[in-house]
Amino acid sequence: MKLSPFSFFLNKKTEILFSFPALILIFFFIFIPISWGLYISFTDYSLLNPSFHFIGLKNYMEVLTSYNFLKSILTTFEFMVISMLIEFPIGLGIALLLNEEFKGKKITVALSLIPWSIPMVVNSLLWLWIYDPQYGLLNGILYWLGIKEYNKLWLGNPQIAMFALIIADSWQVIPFHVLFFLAGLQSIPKTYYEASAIDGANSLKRFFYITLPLLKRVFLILLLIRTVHCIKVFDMIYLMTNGGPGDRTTTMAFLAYLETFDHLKMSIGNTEAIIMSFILIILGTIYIMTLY
Amino acid sequence: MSKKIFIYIFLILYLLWVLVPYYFLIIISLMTHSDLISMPPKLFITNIYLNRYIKLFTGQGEVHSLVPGIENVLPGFWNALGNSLIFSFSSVIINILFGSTISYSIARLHFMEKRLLSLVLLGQIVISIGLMIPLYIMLSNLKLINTWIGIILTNSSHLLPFTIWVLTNFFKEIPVEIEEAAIIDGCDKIRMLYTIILPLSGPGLIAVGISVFIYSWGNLMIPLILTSKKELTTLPLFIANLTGHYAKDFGLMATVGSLTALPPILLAFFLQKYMVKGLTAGAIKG
Repeated sequence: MKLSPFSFFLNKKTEILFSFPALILIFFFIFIPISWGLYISFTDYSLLNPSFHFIGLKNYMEVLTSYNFLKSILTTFEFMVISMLIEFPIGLGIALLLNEEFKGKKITVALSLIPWSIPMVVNSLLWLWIYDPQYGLLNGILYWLGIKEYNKLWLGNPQIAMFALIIADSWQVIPFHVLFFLAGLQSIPKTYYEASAIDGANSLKRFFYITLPLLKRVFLILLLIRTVHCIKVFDMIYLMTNGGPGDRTTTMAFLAYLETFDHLKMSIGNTEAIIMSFILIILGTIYIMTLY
Repeated sequence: MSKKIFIYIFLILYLLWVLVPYYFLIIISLMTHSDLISMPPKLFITNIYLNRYIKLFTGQGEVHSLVPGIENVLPGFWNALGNSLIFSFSSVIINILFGSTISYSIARLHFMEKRLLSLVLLGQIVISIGLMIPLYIMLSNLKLINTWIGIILTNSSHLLPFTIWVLTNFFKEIPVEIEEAAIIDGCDKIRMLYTIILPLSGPGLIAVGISVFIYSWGNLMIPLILTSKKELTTLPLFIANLTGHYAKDFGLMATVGSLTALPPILLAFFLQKYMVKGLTAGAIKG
């Protein structure tokens, strides 16, 4: 039975009323900020000078031609690509091992959730200690190995800082990959492997022709979650490197924060925030379209 | 047989990787000052030093620290703990209350369901510092900076897309026939939601509740950007302040850090069945 719009609303008025509180919150705290930010990005607004003069695309021109912003995009992508290259193979490898039958499997899976549940702030200070030049664990290991110059800078060294951040982030994220890959592996029917074993396929062939193709969806989901996560990453950079040394680890998200709250260039920071949200919306749309 | 050994060796390495950093977090908080600044670092504690915990909890005793002025920061701990509890629990309540009603409607209305859910996912993806900057400008114009309303409602709304996503999927699996029977018996819709649907979707609600709690508990960005008053400091911000303004005192940072990490770890460990479900269903961590 097809309802006319009016009787549809009359019939379903409880459901529609039910939706209101959440809709109001989402409208007010997600939709309005984005729209308002978009509007402000076309003005010269700042907190010190709260007037709105329309200046067209001037902010965008400034941001998109600034060396800092373009570099921060590159830094963000560097963080993203290296992270994924580390996390995916390790995550999949461990999931393959966990997919075997052995004693203590349950507890291993349960313990995998620990790094994920630790607040990012605590994780960051922990790695701050590990990398500490004076008292840190990493330099301690160098000392035990008998290396004379064990007082190395890690987060203060422009060549290593980014990689050090990535390792700290991977510590939290790899177990998350493991759980996802494991869920994917467990959904593959055992009969596929049995049939291919009869046909004489070795385990390498089985991996490439059965396991990998059937994990495609998991790969896709993880790829997109990680892409979005790496673009958003903020807490860790704020606590561990503050974007430094120099601007070596200043990602897009952190640059927008610095411009707004450190340099107090509201309109520039806001424009960068809008560009970042725009990139996220594009990626998100691709994400959703490939999944549904 | 050799394959088994191979598996075990790798698993032990993996478990070391997962657990060792957290082991160090705890032992650093229990080390005496001289052990803490020894190089190479101590791997085990020979004498347990509880003064940092005593100092944090009761304000009594002396804590040996290189950092001057730390005495003035530490009394804020109870306040920060209380604030974190208020912040996280109110976000859980708002998310369960408002999230369940809208998810029920989306699951039952069949009105552009797929498109609505896609929008919800998109909302989840957009939430980041990119949203916080315009939000900060907006709230400072509305004089909502440094208020409980500002941070709690911001945090709750930013977790709502996740909640809606997980709960809608749970509600869709409850058969409509149960509801029809209830309506014939004269049950109205609000009562039906709270007496029939919600109890049936217990696992979903638990998954959402724990996830919302863990995300809120660890959230640094919202209190950092939307508050500047000491009275509104939450635990993540309290830790961030220990690293920011003073030379690093890893002993104290690890003490507050272990205490902050404890509730989420316990929740995730004991309720992991629900967590994994919620995670893989929601598939997103903000």
